Amino acid sequence: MDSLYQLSILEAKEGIKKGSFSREELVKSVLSRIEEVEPKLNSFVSVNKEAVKDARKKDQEKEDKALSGIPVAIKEVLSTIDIKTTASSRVLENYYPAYDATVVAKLKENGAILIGKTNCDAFAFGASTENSGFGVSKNPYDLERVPGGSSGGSASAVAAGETIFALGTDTGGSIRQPASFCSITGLKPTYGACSRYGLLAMASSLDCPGPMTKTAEDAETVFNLIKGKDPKDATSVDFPEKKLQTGKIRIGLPKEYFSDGIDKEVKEAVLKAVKSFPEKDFEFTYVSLPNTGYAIEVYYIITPSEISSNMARYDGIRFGKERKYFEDEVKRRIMLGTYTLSAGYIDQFYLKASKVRRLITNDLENAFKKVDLIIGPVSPTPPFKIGEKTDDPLKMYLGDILTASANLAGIPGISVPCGFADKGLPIGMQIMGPRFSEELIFFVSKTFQTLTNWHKARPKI
Amino acid sequence: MELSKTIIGLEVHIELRTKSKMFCSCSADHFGVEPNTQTCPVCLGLPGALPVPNEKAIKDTIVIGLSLGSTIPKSTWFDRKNYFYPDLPKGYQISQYKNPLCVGGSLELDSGKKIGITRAHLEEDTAKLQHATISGEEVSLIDFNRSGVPLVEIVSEPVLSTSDEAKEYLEKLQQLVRYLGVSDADMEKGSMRCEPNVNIEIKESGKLYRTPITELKNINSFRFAKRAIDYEVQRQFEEFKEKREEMTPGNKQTRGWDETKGITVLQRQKEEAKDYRYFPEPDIPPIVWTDEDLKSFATRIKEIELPKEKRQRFLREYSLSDYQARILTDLKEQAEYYEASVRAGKEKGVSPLEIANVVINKRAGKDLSPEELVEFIAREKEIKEVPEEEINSLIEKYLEENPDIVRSFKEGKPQALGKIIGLVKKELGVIVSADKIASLIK
Amino acid sequence: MPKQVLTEKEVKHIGKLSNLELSEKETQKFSAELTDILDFVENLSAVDTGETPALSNINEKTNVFREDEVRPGLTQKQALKNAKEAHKGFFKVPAILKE
Repeated sequence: MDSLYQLSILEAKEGIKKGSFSREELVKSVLSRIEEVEPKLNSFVSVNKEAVKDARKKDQEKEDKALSGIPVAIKEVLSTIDIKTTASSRVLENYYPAYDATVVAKLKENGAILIGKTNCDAFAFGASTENSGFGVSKNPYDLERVPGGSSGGSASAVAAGETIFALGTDTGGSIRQPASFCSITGLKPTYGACSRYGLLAMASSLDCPGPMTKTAEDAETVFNLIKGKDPKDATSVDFPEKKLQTGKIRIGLPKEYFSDGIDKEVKEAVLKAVKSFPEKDFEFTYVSLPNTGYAIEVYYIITPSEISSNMARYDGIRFGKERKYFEDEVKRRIMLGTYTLSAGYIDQFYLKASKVRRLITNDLENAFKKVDLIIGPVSPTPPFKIGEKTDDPLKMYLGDILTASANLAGIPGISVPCGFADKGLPIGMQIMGPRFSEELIFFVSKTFQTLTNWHKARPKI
Repeated sequence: MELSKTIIGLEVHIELRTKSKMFCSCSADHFGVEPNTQTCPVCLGLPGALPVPNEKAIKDTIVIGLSLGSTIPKSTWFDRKNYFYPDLPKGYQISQYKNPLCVGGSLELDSGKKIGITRAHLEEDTAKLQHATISGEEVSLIDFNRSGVPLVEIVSEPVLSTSDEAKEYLEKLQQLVRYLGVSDADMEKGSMRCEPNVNIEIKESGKLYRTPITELKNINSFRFAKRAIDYEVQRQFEEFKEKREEMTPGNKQTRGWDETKGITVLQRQKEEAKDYRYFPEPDIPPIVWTDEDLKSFATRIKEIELPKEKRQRFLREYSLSDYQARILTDLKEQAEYYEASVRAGKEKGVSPLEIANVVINKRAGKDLSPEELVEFIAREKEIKEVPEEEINSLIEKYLEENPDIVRSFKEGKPQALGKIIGLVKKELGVIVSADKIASLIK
Repeated sequence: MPKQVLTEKEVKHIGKLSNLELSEKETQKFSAELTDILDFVENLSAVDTGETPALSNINEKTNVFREDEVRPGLTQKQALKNAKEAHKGFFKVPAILKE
């Protein structure tokens, strides 16, 4: 049973339940896969040496929990008690949290086994993992290319079978874009649906932890376990129970998401994917989101502003090293945000951006009066080459154009694999919905995954 | 050149006496506690920790505001005030900038002058820094137990015109928050702090000049506040004579009060002009009060009798002098003790005025219950009602009849006189002192 | 629209406000990069925001409070665990000038 690491959560659960294999065997399979491919991928900052022991204990106890014995990889910006949490920054090289992030605690309570902490751009600032203090992660479909980011390590680990599933965080596309680049499923939930407590804050009003999995079904399983109000996060909310709608599902295709700036292969793959939905149940129309064209501008004002404040606690006194050890991109965003909040400029930048943020939100809300969901690409291009954009931060920022709006408006979005470009590079399709529409998003994603096999592809590594 | 006016505004910080801190569940009672034993990820500013506001602290602030006649805006929120200092773990203080919980109001001095209140807002306290030399090295030590304790900032309009007014304002404010039961407001312990902003107006050949504003720090008693302001007024006058510098938007300075030298000392200015980069705290949803909320706040404040109201009622109900009413209502506990004694006195025929006199002159023992106090006064009255000569002759009679007692006394056993005290009490119903008996022994 | 140029002097000022020590090289680099970024985000000035209120409370919740209750937090040892330097239960830093 050397390929247990390829299983989805659902398959692994079933295997354990049936007694086809033990939790220990599953964990060992994943660990040996890590040993095999990690030198090529660099998905992890640290691997949990206790994992086998944990699995053995759960086997002995015949633990009966939703995720009992299922390995999970956790992004380095999510706190794990007594397990080094570096945010992939040299500043936190030796930081050992005194507590678990709420979403991590929930997975543990449900029996999941922490297999390791995954690499990302330092403090999640970036879209390629190239800003990591511990080296870039590689795309398992093409080792010369980035796995996307910032949750790139989580994405490459899931895609390559170095874990059964992972948690990432998404502030401007950091779950969806790497999911798209590595051909896995990744959900950015409704803002507040999953607690941010213990998530090393990037931009507090946009950050969302979420699942990165091999299937939409798995994403749903994980989401249902980590969602819900947390008394430690004042911005978290109880997830309202809604009944799934009946009748045709109306899907909107935003014109702006299929414009000239978007790679032809990407557009074609997404439009082809859209066509696979049966007409009797789905209805498609074009919609317009005129202000989403400003999403990057708004995002790169709001986010750095909040970052400049959120990063102020890293002073090297209570934990971590001095501020001079911050990576370049971290310094850049702190400086940018300090400027956009400073006296004389706050109105021109932060305040103006906060107003346009409302316009973008209004655009989406208006669209959702006409359609149930919106579908478009995730990233304007397939995975790019390592080093291709590192000298031009602005060029890198522009890659967030299709994902940032969901964060600005607090709505959920999922990336599901929908094809490959000529060079065999993965392409993802994004499905967005109004706040708290996760159930419908999962329904459509699962439907798509019963109609297509893109999610079953595995990289040859 | 003459001093035409002194202009004083007061910024007062008051630590609320809540059980837990402002944004986390650590104990807020930090006085005299081992360092760093009352912290958590939130008040230590650890990565990923998030603030959740303490409802009681918010409501207590509103009660302070209403007791000052403030308006409570329906919509309010917390802002982040960004600056770096080792006592500020997050690198920002959660405070309020644009929309404080309480706006406007006033505090009335005895003279009838009303001191306008600009605002009262809620924020979090910083950690405590102390400076030490450890094996030859100059260091600062940080204790985060105080970090995150709820702190109310009350800002007055710059309308106080003497140091005495400033002192009275501070005393009145202290009395008020203690009455409300929301803070100990102890200057020495630091649960009440004040920073006077002082400048003066100088008149010369018909023209008026205003000196640069000084913010005074390091003041930990009302007396210091008065002395520091007095000193600063003189200093500014002398400095103006010499430098003729006038107030501008940028030349406010901070000076620390040095009590031993009796002077204010210029504190090092930060290189960068202060730029706090306030913006709405994204971790805490805003606050919106409904009409019902506002009504319930108003009800709560109506149920509390404020110092001035209590004083006026004492004048009215107990026929006290203004002086008596003032002393008795100075402390809420004292006023409550007095009123309990008045109730107990009713049955024993002891009047409120008699009780007031005894309480104010501290004639009775310290730890008497109201009932015991009334008993004491009643007895005291009886003594007064028996003529002195009658008591004296009775004592002399007993002394003659009991030579053994006199002998014991002379041998150095004053307790022997106890029997005489008992006999006198039995006969006349009054208690005499042993000293009095001794004075009658020949 | 002229470029929103961020001069090296401004970069140094922003660096101080950000508590970042920047080398000359970094100052030059950030001056150029931040100028580019600011020039780009300045596109927003073209958007008519009229009376649009700023959006900062994305999930529209209000009045989220906590009961005034004390709960156990960290021990002194846990609190000081990641400290760079500690002394007798305190965090220790090089002397700070008294403010």
